[in-house]
Amino acid sequence: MLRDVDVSFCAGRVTGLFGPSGSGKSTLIRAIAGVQSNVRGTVTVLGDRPGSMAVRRALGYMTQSASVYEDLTVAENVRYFAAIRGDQVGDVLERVQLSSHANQLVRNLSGGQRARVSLAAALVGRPRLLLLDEPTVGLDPLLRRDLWQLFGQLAGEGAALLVSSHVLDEARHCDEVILLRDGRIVAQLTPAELSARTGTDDLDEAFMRLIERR
Amino acid sequence: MSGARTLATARRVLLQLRHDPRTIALMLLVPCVLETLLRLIYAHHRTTFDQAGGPLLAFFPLTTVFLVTSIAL
Repeated sequence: MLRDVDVSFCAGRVTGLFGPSGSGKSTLIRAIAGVQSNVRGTVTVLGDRPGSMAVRRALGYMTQSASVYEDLTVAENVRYFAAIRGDQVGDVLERVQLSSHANQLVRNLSGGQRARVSLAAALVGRPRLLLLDEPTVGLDPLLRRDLWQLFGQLAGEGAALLVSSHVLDEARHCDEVILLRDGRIVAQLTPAELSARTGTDDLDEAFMRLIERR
Repeated sequence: MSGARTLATARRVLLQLRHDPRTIALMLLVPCVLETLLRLIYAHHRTTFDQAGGPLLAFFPLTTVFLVTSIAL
């Protein structure tokens, strides 16, 4: 579904992947994670091919639907993922603001909370590369802001983040933005460049002007 | 598959089971109840029960475990 994609993103920055649903955001993320079949062309992750042992060790991947065990508590889930990675749980639950729900079964949590458990599982072991597929979907604005702050922090600690979202307004939290539409890259630029090039601060409007210009 | 991962996964499955008391009851209680019923049904045929009872004690848990894994889990 993706065609002529040529993008790159680097450590220490939050790169946002934006586009309407069906534009190929998840497919691109899956290709980088090494779980997408029929990838033609080259994908290089941390100087290696996607899905290789070394890359998998350094990778934290949060899928679009929460991939955690519903019949375990929040704490048991992250403990399991830590054991699988051979690492410590650390402060992941505090970071996603779920420490107060640590002993609740995931089954009894709301959709947004489940997504954050999934995020916590991806953060276990301080991965150098984080692929987050729509981590802020269905969350209240306050939590969304906190999570974007967290992403900024993680980038500050030296991680490379690729965060997808269909809410263009969230592009302002990114260091760099990749805009996708119909499986093609519309642009890769910083939010400031996006405003400058389109002459508007409204990011929805900016996106539309970029598309019309093509 | 490393030893540590296998152990962690086994622990996880047991934890999942612990949060599901109905399944545990199904696996432990149902065979006992069935065996008792069988004993009462064959009260006048002690030899039949003596012959079939032992193997069935192994067969009932197997059946309930099969039901549990195919339906509950």
